[in-house]
Amino acid sequence: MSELIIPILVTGSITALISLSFQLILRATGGIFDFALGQYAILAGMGAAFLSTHSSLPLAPVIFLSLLLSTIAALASETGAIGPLTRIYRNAGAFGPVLGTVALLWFWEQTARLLFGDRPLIGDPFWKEARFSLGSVRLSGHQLTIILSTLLIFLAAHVWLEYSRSGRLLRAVGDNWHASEILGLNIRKARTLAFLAAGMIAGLTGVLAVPLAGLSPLMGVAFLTNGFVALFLGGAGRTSGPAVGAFLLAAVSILVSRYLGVAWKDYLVLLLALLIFAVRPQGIIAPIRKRPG
Amino acid sequence: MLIIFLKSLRRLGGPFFLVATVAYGLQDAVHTELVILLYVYASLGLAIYVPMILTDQVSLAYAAYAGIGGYSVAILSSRSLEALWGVLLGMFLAGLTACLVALATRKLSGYFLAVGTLLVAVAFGRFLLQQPDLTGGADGLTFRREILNIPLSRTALLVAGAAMIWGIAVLVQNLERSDVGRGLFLMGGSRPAAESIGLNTARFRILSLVLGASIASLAGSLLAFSRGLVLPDSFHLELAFLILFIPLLGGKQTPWGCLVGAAVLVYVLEIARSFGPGKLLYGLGVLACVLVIPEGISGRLRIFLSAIEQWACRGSPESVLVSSEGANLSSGRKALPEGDFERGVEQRIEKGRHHPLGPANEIAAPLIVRNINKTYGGVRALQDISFDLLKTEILGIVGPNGAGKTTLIDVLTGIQNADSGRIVLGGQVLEGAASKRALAGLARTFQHPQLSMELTVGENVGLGLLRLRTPRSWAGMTLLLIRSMLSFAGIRKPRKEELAIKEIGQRVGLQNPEEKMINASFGTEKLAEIGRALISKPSVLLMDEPFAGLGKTEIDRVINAVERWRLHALGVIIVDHNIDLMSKICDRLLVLDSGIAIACGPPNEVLAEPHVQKAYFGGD
Repeated sequence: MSELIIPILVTGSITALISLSFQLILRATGGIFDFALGQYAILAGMGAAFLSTHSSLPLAPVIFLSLLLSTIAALASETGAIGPLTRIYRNAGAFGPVLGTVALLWFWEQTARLLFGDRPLIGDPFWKEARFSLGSVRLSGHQLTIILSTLLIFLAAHVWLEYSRSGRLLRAVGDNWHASEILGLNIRKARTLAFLAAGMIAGLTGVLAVPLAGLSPLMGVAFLTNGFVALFLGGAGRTSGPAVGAFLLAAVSILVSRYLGVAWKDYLVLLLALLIFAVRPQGIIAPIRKRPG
Repeated sequence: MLIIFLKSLRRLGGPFFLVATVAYGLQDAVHTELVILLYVYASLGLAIYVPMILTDQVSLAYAAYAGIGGYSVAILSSRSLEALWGVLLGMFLAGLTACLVALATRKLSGYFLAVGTLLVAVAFGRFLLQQPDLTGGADGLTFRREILNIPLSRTALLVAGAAMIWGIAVLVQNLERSDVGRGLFLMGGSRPAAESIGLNTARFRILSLVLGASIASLAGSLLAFSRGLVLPDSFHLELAFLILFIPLLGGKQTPWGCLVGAAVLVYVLEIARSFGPGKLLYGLGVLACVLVIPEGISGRLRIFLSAIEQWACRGSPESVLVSSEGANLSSGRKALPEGDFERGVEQRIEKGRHHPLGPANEIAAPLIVRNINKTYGGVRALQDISFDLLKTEILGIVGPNGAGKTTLIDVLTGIQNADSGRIVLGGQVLEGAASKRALAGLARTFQHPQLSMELTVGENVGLGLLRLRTPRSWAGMTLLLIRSMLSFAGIRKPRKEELAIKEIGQRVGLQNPEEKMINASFGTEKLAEIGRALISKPSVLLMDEPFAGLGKTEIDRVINAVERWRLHALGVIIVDHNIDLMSKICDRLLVLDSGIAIACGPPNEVLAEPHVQKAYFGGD
């Protein structure tokens, strides 16, 4: 059993980061899920793997350029598609934005294919030589980097959203877009900040994930579904929600894969998602606050 | 000649296109495969069209549903069982899967359905690979291409495919043009409005998704028959993304547009074989379509053809006929001379003096509301609200902004659920969904008109008639949906309904029932919504700010219509800010302040009470 703890923590961390990116955009836009988020992670992850194998650049510029790529993709999506979609379909249901974000997912998937090819690319792990052990639990330097990075990013996101001026702006805009507009709050700034942060976090997720088992353009969908389910398993109302949901999902998935077979992981995620959607869509831990319609 | 040609092009373009594709496909095996692929994509587009265009639902499992259809045929045929059973089994299983996902996401936004169905597609792909005994694994399954022991030749496949597309397109078109189809359009734009005319939106949403899944399964069966082979790659997730945009590319104006969308997709895939960024450009094209031409390619084409047709019609005998009909319609309505409004109000004041007021009257109260409470988090929006609506009474609900007036209407009509309390209409306890309450006899209008912008003013008014014939049971709704698809009567409205729409239109003062709602003024929107409520002959009519945005003449018409209606109905409840007007037309006023009923009685008495004046004007 103890040998499963590290895989659960590592897989949970990767899912938690993507889920956090979802949450940031959800909170800033008041209800939009950017389906292309997984693709930003793929762009950065494959970009990092590509640069590290095809250039002699040191690690820091490779990470910087990869994050730049995912952030540009996120901001371009907001400026070129999601922002206009929100305005055009403001009073017309979710049809336009859902279809638009699915089109974005397709667009960035095809971009990743054109840039890096169809085959999975595997990156170099960070802190390669380091090995740690805590009792019977052993972990590599790369695994420790993933866990610690996740912890730091969640702490930073919490502090930013709860205690900073721009974090409050982001929450206010997401909570009531119309009132924020009347109050003269800078809605564009709030949304840009959210997409900037989400693009960077998604990019970092890709950079951290690519040395584990490699990434290919088609894997963006897995990031999307796992991140989405984790967000609603934990609850979208608090910053801790994505982390709780992600670690729970990772634990269940890894245990099921181990004891029932890999195929059961996909069936289980489907069943779990349908169960949450049907019974408790507001999440297990941190419910979304209701407000008058 | 030009007019006839343009009309024929609009009406017969789809069938003509199908005949042309059969002729094209008959050339050789390569062309046949290309045309069959076009039919498969077109039928998948039609499968998506029903829930996406009519009810605003985006599902990503259509490749999986097609796979269910294809594999059902292959599995049964490869075991020497009749392939036709495979077709039917596939439709059933795909429908069942769609039903389960729709049930799980029934109260959630479109994103949840999209993700739920995406997970179905992922799990289905995994299932195909992990169950080789049943599905053949990565190698797939081969089988004999025959149905009812008749081998399927290329010609037979092409004709069957074309007939299938024609059949599905006609059925979907019939549904779209029927009252139920129009109701579904309304549902896509506003669920509360659809519920208010008695449509059980949750059930119709599920039915539309099941219908779409069954059509997709049929498309999968056609693909399997065309190749005599099924492979997991044929129903890959990529297909789900590619086909999703067919109705959008084709246009949401007509199901025949799916043929255009499918043709674009087949062309793009052919280009993508030799030109790498082909699929990337497809994604960009789709985004551009969503952002710039939401009506799609064929939709834009139809608008263009209509414009030419209108231009060509100038001065023709037909246009003269239309103009004279319009003039008659206008002359049929009596325009009120200046000063009539004030006189009408005076008469009503006089009438109001003799009207039975207050619960002490002997007339029984048909709507009884007791101890309604509603909270939002820490805010108590309604606190212990109780009142009776007397027979033929007009009850006004007034109060400052945020007093809870609209919330009360929402709670009464079931758009929102009360935390506690009891509502009794004609001896029957009202609870549950808004559609159930609408069928029990409540009709309402909204503060901001909620109409289908795709329809005309008259068609929007006619939607109210659905309240009179929408069934309550699952079986009844399914039958209604099937009947709407099979009935060509939906294309031409029965004379009786036309007259009802015309009469209500004249009564509330709708100038041009043929006008597209999207081009109509705010005042027309308000009047159309009132017409939609009145035509459904409700027992109790609830109106949320009906006079906001209307001119004097329009207000007077609405009052006249309501006055006339009250004699046949159990009563009318009006919420409005115009205190002067409300005190003149209402028999009693219920005053709300911060969710509490602070006064109820005849207008002059209620408005004279100091605590009512304090609530309105402040001060001690």
